[in-house]
Amino acid sequence: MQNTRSIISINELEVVYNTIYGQVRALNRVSLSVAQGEVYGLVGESGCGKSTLGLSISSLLPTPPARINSGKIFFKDFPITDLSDDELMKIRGTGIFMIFQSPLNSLNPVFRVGDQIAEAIQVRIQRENKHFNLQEVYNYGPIENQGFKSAWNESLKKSRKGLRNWKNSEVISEVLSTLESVRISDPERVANSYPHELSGGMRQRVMIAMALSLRPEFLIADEPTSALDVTTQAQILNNMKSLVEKYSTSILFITHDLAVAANISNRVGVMYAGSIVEEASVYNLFKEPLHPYTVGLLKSFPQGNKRTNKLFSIKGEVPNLASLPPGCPFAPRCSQAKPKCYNDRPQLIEVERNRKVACFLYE
Amino acid sequence: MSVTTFVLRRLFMSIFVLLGVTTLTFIISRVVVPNPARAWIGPKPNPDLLKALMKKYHFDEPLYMQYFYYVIGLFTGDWGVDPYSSIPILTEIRMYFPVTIELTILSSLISILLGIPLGILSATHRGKTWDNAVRLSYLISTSVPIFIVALVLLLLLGYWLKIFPVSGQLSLNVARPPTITGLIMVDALLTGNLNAFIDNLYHMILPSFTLALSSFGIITRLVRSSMIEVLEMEYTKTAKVKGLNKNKIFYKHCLRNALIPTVTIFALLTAYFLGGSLFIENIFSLPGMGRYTTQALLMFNIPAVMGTTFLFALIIIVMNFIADVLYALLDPRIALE
Amino acid sequence: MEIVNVTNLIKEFPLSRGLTDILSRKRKTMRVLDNVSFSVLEGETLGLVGESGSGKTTLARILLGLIKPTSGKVMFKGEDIFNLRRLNKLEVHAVFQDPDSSLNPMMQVKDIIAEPLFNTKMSKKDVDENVIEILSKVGLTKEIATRYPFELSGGQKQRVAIARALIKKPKFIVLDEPTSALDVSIQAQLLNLLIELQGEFGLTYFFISHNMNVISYISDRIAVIYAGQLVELGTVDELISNPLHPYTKLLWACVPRPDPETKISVKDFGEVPSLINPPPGCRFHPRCPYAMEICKSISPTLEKLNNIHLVACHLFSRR
Repeated sequence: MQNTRSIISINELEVVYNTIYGQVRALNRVSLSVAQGEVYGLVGESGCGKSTLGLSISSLLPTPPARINSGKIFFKDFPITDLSDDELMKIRGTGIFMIFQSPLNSLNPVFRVGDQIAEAIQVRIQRENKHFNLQEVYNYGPIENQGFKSAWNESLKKSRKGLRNWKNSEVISEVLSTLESVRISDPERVANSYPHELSGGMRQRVMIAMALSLRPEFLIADEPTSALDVTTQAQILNNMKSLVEKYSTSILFITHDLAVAANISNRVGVMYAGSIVEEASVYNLFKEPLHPYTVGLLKSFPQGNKRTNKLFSIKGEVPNLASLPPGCPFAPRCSQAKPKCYNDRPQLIEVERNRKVACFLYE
Repeated sequence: MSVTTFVLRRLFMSIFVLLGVTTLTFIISRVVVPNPARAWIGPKPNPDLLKALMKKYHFDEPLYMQYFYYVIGLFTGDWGVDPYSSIPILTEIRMYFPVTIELTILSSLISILLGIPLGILSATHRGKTWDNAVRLSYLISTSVPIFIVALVLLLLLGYWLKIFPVSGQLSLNVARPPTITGLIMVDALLTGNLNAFIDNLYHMILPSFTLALSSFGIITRLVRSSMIEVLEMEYTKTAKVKGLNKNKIFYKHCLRNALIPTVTIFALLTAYFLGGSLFIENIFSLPGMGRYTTQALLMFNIPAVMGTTFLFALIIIVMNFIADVLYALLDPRIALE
Repeated sequence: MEIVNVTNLIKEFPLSRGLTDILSRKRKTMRVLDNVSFSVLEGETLGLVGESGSGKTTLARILLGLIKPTSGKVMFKGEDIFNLRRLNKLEVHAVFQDPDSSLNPMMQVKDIIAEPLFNTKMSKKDVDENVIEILSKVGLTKEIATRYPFELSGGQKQRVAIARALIKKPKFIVLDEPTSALDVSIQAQLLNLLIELQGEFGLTYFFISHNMNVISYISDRIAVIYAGQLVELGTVDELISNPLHPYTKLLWACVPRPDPETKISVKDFGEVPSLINPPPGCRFHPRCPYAMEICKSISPTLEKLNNIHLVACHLFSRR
């Protein structure tokens, strides 16, 4: 599963929000990398920073109030943290794409669904054109290099010519076939509908269809199934799996639902209060979790029936990021906390191959 | 529900609103002046004349019959006769109305051209110097009363700097073009009289600018807040992350959504402009509906007051109807309800 | 013993009509609940599971006496709740999904909890004592009493909502998605609390959720609702080990488990039908892999297979 080449790698990313209560550190030196064709499940409870991480990668953080304090994000070894909007445009879409939780708001209400997918197809075609080579652009190295911009503009100019050769009917038939591939039975009707005329599950499938037509190398899915019913959720998960199989897209799947993460991920990271506390292959994480928080989360997931199985519940509440204790953020809720845990912050270290945990129990 | 059904339904509702307005104007006019004939004729009336007048205007009949005559008249083009000049009200309105139309169209053009770009500028530069400047300007625009703005501009640009004429529609040496539509600018263009066109425009700039200055703030504030909202919506993020270029994101995905709420306030603004014309036309001595209404009010010219009230109500209802239809066309969610 | 008995409940909502409908005097309604019958036994937790738009919340609101059904009866301890005087209705209480909208933001916690006692002739001192007692029962400290809802976390707010439901010592509580808005760790705390309180006060729960894991954990019996019709009802063990209705089977197959070795294997799911224009016959037949000719015309009724299992499906009909 582990591919040598990572599509996204994040290095010691720290994001802070300026709020009326002072500075809140939403991400505390988070590092992770996602390989090609891999589905990385990012699990955590509300307010742990998992959405902030997703928005940072797609460079959609609302700045201000958010600010990247330190750290870097690399897309295929190319730093994207300091890019301007114009430069980011070239990476977004076919490079990085994102699906949001609310399927109602992520489609523009005043355009027909088909037009919005067609737009995505046109973006891809523009870049897929044989004159257009993303790699060529990256080879110019860091953005300080003047070559980057000119190489980009050059290839864009050439590819515009290519776009004109595309007949509209071809785009339309691709819209319909993409909708069909996400198992929408009447693609013509759906393509001609406005978003509000479709159900939530249908809209989310349209978003997946958009992803399918962009064929991004990296897809960030922020709780894409949380607002949906189980049968629809199962279908969306299936559609996402086919995205990985067809185009070997890498996915960062952000969710609060352990079960969903177990179902779709190859590797899982558990976040707590702005840090990743454990990271392992999906099998290891669910079969033998190490961090007390992961253990607690799994034990508090309702399974079986109340007569046979008493649910474990982690005591206390998710901490407020504005006033984190100095030591391990989980220490106040941890049943195995030692005095050291209240003073020093454990680092995320590799305890086995491909297995990391941030806990003094495993040092 | 299709858009056609929606439009028909709104049209149907508008008719009822219109009937309501006629009832209201009728009642109010009768409460203010129970017997208008007596008011016109003075303190020592000649009983025969009074009787004749009352008969002529149906004042001797029961109220519901008077109302009946009034409504029938409204729809058959008989809006009553000016008791002082004996000219039919509709003919008088036809003389005065064009000036107000010119004034309203010019001021809405100026306030749109001023309001929308400023609102967008402010939203896209949120929290920065531009935004603060714009917010200050619309605060002043909405809080300073219109007659103060008018007097300040009149003094500054009219009397001291002498850039613009202070009153009237045309300079003394410019002949009025023959009346075709009644709108001097249109008539001038139709007869090829460019000189009169420019002169009239030159005279209208200061009044319309005054009216626009005190109303663009409403547009700016609305455009700003809806633009800010749209820029933070997830579909804007989707458009961004799709890899679209800046112009497409902004002009295609954001602008249309942000301007939809603005459409609805044009009906409101029309009401504001008509109200504002009362001040502006008096201050700048323009022979328009505002001036006509003021004079009619001062002279208890009840048929004229009722006529203008009905006309204003009609315009506002029509504008509301147009706004609703535009809204339904722009936003596919509306017709569905 | 039955505490609540629902028979042949039908609820229709009127729809807005187009011009042609008005001219042709056609009435348009949406049947949200179609002939629902079931009973809740004293002391049990009856779980109601179904997808969004299946009529779960409408059913809850009818049980609470908040809306009237179009036809059918709801009996509470042998009396029709829509014939009772208002005071007696308050024996049924509810906890809703979103505490932010069910707790008045302008009121202190103690006033929120004491609100159901407003019309009783209890002295202020007794009310305060009651509030403090119930606060400790739901695991909240005394200090919370003077706070406002915005100062509380999601879990605390839901505890306040439970305290308010309990203050009049009711026997029957309707819980409409009480944990859906909460995190897993907080959800576990709340589920444990609910189970504890049930034992202590001898409560009967009607627990509504779309989360199959939660429902099968907390319920004694489960009812499955699809597009306004009850399709299956039975004890937890029976329904999980031996689901009969094809819809129940589909639901079970779609539930993700926190176990990487059991992946969802379903391939075809279909769409929930619109209630405005539901399919004739069994409402599930367009999605059903076993649909027969009869399913397209005749709607199956909920039939008793044995003491612990009822199902509405022609495959198991004895006729």
